[in-house]
Amino acid sequence: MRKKLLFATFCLVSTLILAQKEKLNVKFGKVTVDDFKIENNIDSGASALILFDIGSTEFVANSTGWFSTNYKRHKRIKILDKKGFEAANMQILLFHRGNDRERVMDLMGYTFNLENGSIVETKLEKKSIFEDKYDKNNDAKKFTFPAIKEGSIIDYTYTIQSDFIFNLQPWHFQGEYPCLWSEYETRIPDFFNYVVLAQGYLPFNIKTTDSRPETFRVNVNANSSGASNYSTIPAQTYYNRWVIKNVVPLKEESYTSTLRNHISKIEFQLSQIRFPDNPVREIMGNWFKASQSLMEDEEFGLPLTKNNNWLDDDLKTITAGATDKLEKAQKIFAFVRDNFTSTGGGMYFNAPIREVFKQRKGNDGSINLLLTAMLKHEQIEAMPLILSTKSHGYAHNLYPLMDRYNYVVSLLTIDSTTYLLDASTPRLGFGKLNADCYNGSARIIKLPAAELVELNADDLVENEVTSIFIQNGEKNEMSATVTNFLGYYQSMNLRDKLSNTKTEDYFKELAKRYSFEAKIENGNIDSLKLYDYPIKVTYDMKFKNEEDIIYFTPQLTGAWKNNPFKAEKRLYPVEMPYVINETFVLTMEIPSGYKVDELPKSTRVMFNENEGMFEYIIKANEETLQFKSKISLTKANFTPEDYETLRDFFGFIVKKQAEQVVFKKIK
Amino acid sequence: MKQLIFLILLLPIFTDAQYAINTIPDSLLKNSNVVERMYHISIEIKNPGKAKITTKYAYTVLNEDGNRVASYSSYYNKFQSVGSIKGTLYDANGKEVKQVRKKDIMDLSGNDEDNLMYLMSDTRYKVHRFYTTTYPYTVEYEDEREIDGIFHLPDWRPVRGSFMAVENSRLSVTTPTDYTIRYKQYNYDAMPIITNQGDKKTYTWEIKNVPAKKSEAYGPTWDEINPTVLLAPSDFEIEGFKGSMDSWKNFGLFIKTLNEGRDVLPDVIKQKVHTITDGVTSVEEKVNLLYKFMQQNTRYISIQLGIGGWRPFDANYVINKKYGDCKALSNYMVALLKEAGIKANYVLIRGGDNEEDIVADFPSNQFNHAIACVPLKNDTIWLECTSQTVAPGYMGEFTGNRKALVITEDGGVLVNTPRYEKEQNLLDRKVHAIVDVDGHLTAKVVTRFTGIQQDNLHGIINNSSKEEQLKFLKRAISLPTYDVEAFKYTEGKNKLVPEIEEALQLKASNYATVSGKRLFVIPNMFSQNGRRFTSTEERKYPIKFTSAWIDIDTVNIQIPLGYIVESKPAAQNIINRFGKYQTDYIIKEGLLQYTRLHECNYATFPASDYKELSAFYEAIYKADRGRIVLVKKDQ
Repeated sequence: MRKKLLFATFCLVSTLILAQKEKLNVKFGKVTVDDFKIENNIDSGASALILFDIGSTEFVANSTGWFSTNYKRHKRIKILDKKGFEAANMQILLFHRGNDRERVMDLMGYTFNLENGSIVETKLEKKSIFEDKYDKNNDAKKFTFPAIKEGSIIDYTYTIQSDFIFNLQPWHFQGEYPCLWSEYETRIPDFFNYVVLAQGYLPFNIKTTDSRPETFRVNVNANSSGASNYSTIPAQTYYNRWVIKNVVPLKEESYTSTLRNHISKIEFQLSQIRFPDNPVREIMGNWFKASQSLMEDEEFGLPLTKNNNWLDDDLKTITAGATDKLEKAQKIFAFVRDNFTSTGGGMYFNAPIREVFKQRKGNDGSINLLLTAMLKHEQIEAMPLILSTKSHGYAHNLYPLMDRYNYVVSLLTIDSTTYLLDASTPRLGFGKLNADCYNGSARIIKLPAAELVELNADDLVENEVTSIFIQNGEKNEMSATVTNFLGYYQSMNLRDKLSNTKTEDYFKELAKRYSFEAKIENGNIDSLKLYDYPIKVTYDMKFKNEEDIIYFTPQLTGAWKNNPFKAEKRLYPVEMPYVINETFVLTMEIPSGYKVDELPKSTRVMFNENEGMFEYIIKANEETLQFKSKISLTKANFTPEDYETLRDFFGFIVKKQAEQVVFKKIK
Repeated sequence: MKQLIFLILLLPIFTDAQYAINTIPDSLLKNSNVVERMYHISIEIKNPGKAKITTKYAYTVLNEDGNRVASYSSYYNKFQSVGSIKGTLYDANGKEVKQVRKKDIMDLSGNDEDNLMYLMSDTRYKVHRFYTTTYPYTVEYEDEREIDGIFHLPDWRPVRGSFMAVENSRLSVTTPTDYTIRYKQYNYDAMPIITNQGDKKTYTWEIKNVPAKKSEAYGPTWDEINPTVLLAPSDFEIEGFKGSMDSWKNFGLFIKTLNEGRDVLPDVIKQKVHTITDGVTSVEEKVNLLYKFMQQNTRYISIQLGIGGWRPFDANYVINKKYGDCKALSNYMVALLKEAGIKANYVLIRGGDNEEDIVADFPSNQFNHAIACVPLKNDTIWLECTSQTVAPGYMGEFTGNRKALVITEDGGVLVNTPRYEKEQNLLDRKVHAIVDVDGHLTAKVVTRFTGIQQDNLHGIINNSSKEEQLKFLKRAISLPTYDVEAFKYTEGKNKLVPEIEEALQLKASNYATVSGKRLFVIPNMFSQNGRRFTSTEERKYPIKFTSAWIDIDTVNIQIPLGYIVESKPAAQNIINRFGKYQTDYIIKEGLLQYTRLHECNYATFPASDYKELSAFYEAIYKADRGRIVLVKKDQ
């Protein structure tokens, strides 16, 4: 007995060691008949299968006395069906800025086809590789593989030599197609220290670290005289290797911030440089340093710290009549929001501050930084707050990784009350942010150090209340008074809509949403132009009862008609834009000449005991019918474990809100 | 006194400004989002190869919806270069606000970065926009373009869209006196003004003060109701190739010259052709076999560089790479057929769903696509060569029912591509379903789609992954919560009209609403028509139905034991010149049968028919959503 147990333990250890050393035995251009037999049994329905994707990054000394990285990639893809032909079309982006650039080298590829049992190879020709100017900072290499058919295997490799060592090439284990083997290795000399950022829900099958001594021969005297003076730097090089096998792609479902937040990937940020006999150079630094350099940045904080007296006259006009700081701030905010046009995204000034002011345009960042400067000019405490919008992905909650941020707003403090202001979005109210901004970690940029703030959608409650009174009118007509207090984001949507739709057309459309023929009169939209407040919509509505039996859905408006959660399973969190809190109340006279024949059942359902509730309460006597339906959740973000319950919860709501009251004519 | 002088001095600045909003006549502001203040395009043709185009225009944008026309965009490539771009933004008073700065002009790639199937094109764009939201405002732009190789010339379509009024628009064309410019004008009453100056001749067209129009759903195309002048060269030269387009025949001859010698096949492919077709007697069968061979051995990749925008890559290129664009693949197909002794032609066409047809009596480059055709004794087989899956001979909504230019030995000939009758465009659906007491539904749905009704589905089942197909199905079916448990598509391609059979097995929870002892069932769960004509404004233009089709639904629903029908919608039977709509409900022994027939005719109806048409479609809309109420029998 004892022996057996011992044996088992031994066995476990040895497979573990084996697993860690496991390597794929593949060579570029060498494809065997057996490779064609590999089947996709990890993701049925995929149209291409990545047999492997192997990448590595190593450091080389370059001719300028510094280092470059060589990123090598070798990828082999099997095309499974015609839709998969797309997987044979490639684009490699090469970044450049100033004199630094990424260069592609040794780009080679083959298509392999199995024809009558033997392998036929077709080479990717150099002249079929095109070059395109993608945008200001990127060139693109574009190519497609020749001789593609269903069942083809494409095999390609390339190296990107990069002068940008601050970010090593990241690695995406999870992509559009399933992958049997995804591997990345970094070989980093110990004088560069990187922070490794890993995310995703897939465990690594292999994760190893190893080190060995190496030397780098660096040209330390690369001057114009042409004389070279090489110096040899000894280093301990760290080999880190990560492998994930059988990776299935993530699929985008409803209520997802961005899939980029959830796919399995690793990224790298240079944090320190420490050469032998030299003091350690902090590169990534900390939020003390990051704040300082942002505040000294010509395109960010510097213009905010100047006295900006060129604004004196304009601000006098803008703030005229304001009696206190809050009123001043509101006037400045409204002025910027209503007179400046955003030219697109961006977190830094895209033109000098005076230019932005004069031209009345700038990217989102320029507008909000200008706003901050204008507030400060009036001695109002305002600071930039940087964040990452949902579609851009999460910012890191610890490290000062600036490229993780893409948006800046203004944080205003008056009498210890704080307000977040965004003047770059038309019609957005004072103290409001787009729901897209509630994406976790944000930072207030101030000295001495930036302060962490959590912007969480769980704190954002969207309250909607609808109440309807219905009375008997003349003959068989009934008349209703409808009052609908919209949530703030619903109000935003309606404001956007009404910026190019006539109010009367909106009410016409509204009338069509009723399941019976409804006539709407006296429509009114309250607070349409008062952007700081939610909208109240009111109108009168008339309809007729003609049949002997009336089937009447008491949830007259705002019913959930479809379950938003269509997929059966969910592998990553559900991220709703805000916390839902909807109430619908109906009080109605029983149609004259009719009696209630049947009522739906009242019911109350809890979501996870105390994290939400759906209430459906209905009662009637001979004169009146009273109905209330209420959905209230306590949070906006749900874990994958919550998914099934969430799907059932909304499924139940859809079903219940469709139920009907039956009125029968009294004979 | 002082104040008065001050005012007088100021006034002219406000009122004399060319683009002040108060100088626009009221008639042009009605229904407008934008007023085209002026649009002057001058084309100076120097010789058959070279031309200079100067454009100057100004738009006053009245509201947010007008923004999209108020920007500048121009392409450039090997045949067209863009010179200086000038522009100015004016405020409501016509006062200059700012000018275009060179660094604000964006230079964009013409490649579709999201779809690498369109791999490479050398066309790029210059784009500019003043970002302003203070309405009204006016933008003015001016540019100069040089044309090297006059293959086509800009059209003049002064009324660029609905909700746009035109104050003044002018086209002038200057040519050497011995140069023949060809034009075609419609919805323009006058003749062009022609002036001579030395060895030059100038033609001018101009319109003034045209109020904004609205387009109407199912109405005529925009060009049919608005002034248009089409221009084309007579003799032209492009990259050393000379040609003439004074007739379709000559246009075709030019294309023939471009394609000459590009159909040479290597021996190994020649042998392949013979292996496939030798011994087959029927020409149709040979065409089918070679077409399938082409489909299985190529795919579509677009590469447009220089003259390659008009001239196909040769057959050998397609054989080596196994890809090509529409021109290369069609040229290759013709070459394969030629080797098999079958006479086939390269064909130019204007592709696009609901694309307006080319102007048949004005030979010019009006095409954007190439296909192939095989003229037979009584019929013609049309071949779309960019699809790996479409049935031989089938021309769907992208290329069907329009004019095409067949390139023959003797030049170009215009021919019609086929149109399919309503009996050929079927959707025939049979549903067998069971509803239980909780309102849950299980259903088997078998649908046969034919002709143009299968176009969209054909694309989806052949070009999408299983995952995407499932997503498409989930969108296409409007049931609250449901799962598709199994689905299968079978394509019948060997018929004149292609067909697809779709078999679905699905489960929908809460399909029927349960309220106490009642069940509410909407039997028409798949074919609820969304087409409506609800505009309350008076119809101005005729109503055009550009295709004809028939939908037939037969739905059998087994209802739970012990339930009887309390109410059901009335059966419908409407037959008129627009089409037909018939429904019926038969209920017996726990089985509910719903039948529905909807036919749409191919025709154009006068504007006066609008009310009746609207009533017809409202009736359909309502009836399609009719529900049956089942109630539990009292025990």
